[in-house]
Amino acid sequence: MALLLAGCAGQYQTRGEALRRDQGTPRILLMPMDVELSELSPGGTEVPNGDWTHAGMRNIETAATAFLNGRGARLVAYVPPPADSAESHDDGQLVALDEVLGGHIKSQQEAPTQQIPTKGARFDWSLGPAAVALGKRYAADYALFVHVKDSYMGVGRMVYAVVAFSVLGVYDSGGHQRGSASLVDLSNGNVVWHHAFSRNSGDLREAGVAAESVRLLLNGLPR
Amino acid sequence: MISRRHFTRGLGAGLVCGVSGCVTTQANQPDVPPGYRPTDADEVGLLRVFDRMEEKLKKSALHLKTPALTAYLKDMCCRMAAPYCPDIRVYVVRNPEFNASMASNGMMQVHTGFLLWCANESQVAAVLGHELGHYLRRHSINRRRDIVGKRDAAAFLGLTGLASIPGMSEAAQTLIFYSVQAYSREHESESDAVGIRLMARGGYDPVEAARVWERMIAVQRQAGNDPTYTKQQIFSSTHPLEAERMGALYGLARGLGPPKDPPPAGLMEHVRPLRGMMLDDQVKSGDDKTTEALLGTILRDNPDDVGMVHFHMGEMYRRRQNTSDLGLALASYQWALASDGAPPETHRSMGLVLRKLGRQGDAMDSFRTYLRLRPDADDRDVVQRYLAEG
Repeated sequence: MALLLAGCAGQYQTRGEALRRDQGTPRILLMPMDVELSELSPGGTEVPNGDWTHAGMRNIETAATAFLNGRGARLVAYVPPPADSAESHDDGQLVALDEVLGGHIKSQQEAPTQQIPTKGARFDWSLGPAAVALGKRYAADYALFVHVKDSYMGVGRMVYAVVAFSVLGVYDSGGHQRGSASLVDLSNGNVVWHHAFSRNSGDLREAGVAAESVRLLLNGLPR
Repeated sequence: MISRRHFTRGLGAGLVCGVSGCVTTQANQPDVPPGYRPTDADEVGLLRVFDRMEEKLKKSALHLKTPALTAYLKDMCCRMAAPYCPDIRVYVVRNPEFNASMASNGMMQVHTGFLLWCANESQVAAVLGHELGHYLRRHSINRRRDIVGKRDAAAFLGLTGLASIPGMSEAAQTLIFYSVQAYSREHESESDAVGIRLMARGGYDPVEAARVWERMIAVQRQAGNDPTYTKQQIFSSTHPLEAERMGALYGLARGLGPPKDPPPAGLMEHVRPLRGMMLDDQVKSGDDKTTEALLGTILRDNPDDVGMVHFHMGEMYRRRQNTSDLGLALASYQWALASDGAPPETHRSMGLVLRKLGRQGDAMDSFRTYLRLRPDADDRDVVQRYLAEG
């Protein structure tokens, strides 16, 4: 039980800034999402499921739109630039950089041995000035980066879990949902908010229940 | 994927295999139809994983945007498997390791190191044909299903109480591992057989498929690596023994016979602009024994740009920072300058070596020649300081 609790939502971090509203409703650009939904095979292997992943991405976008509307902000859809363009390359680098940065933020928070010594507890990460050009292109104030992996038991895994519990007394909590998101200020590239979480519940496949996962993902997002 | 395990170390061989489609099914499975799009959820899921990898690869600094070379490799694929031409996308990846890979979404990655190893276009075609074989026989998804299926079986077996017998669980894990690797080797052999037929269809000389391995075995022997596996590796490797592959391919090549017309021979022309970088990457791989053997083989087999190859051989000796190698480095630079294709950097490196050998006057001459030939050199300031110090 302790393990279950420990596996719950992590703590979000912010710069403590509110969303800028001097130009009207804040526009938040949803960057290309890194999402993968898998089925747990009877043996516990995560098998990526294309249909679920597709539905999951759509559900995240819908739920995030509603969530931000409720906060008086607007979600802006990302329109991919031509594949070979400089913009496409730069955007890809920003997404990759955000992923790397997310790893550092996580280890700074959770792994004392891997911390950057001069950083301390300060939350002052940045994607740098390259993010400014992105903001101008989309007339957006912020960019939202999303990384989510989720897995769900297939029928075979459920049968296995029931038998394993009754025969061996081993409890299997099923799928594993984990993810992170960050909000980047496109006027300067600063990461203003970051949240990573991991738990053994939640479902992104169905539009109705996906909103609960998205609310968790966006926990602590500046108002 | 073509390489043997030895050449994939550091790449995370297992992951790369699962991901890059090192694998397949029993022989005689039909080829996928051209334009194939999977419908099964697990295959669609895997395809999406590859699509995401491809998006990242496109933007990676290691993906070389070399339109001429990429188009040349793509044309080779189209020549061998015309109906699949629209389904295949070729990426040249900067990596000194001998390797190429194919994913089930049509993403083919060709390492620069592999292009350096090949003696002619038919040898390149042999490996591209092999990779197309992985694609045609859907090895990615079949390997994935094989792994998942075997783990599932083991999980249920564990419920029967067998797992409580000491050592049984470990034994099961080991068995799964060997079984999965054996399946992978089956795929490699199948791809070899498919690939050599594609080669012949494309007008290439099938015997070169065997010579790729012959060359690799020869270079490894020369480098002091034993190109045979230990008994244990015979079961654990994802790829069949090179000598075994070579023998099987020689057999298949005999059956197919030589091409009617001389096979296309455009490799050197297309690789030349990148050759300096490829040789530099090979030297910097740090595997000096292989570098020495490979560059020696290239010098013996390939009369083009000999000066450039000698220069990089010299760089390998010089970089060791070992006094006894300075003579070898100097000799290599002298060979380079006496041949075609030596870059101006040969003079700079020769100057550095002469300086270490205490031949200040000769060193200064070399530095001056370097700056005359390369007035806009990046390291001009450093070289000028050497000149000022005398």
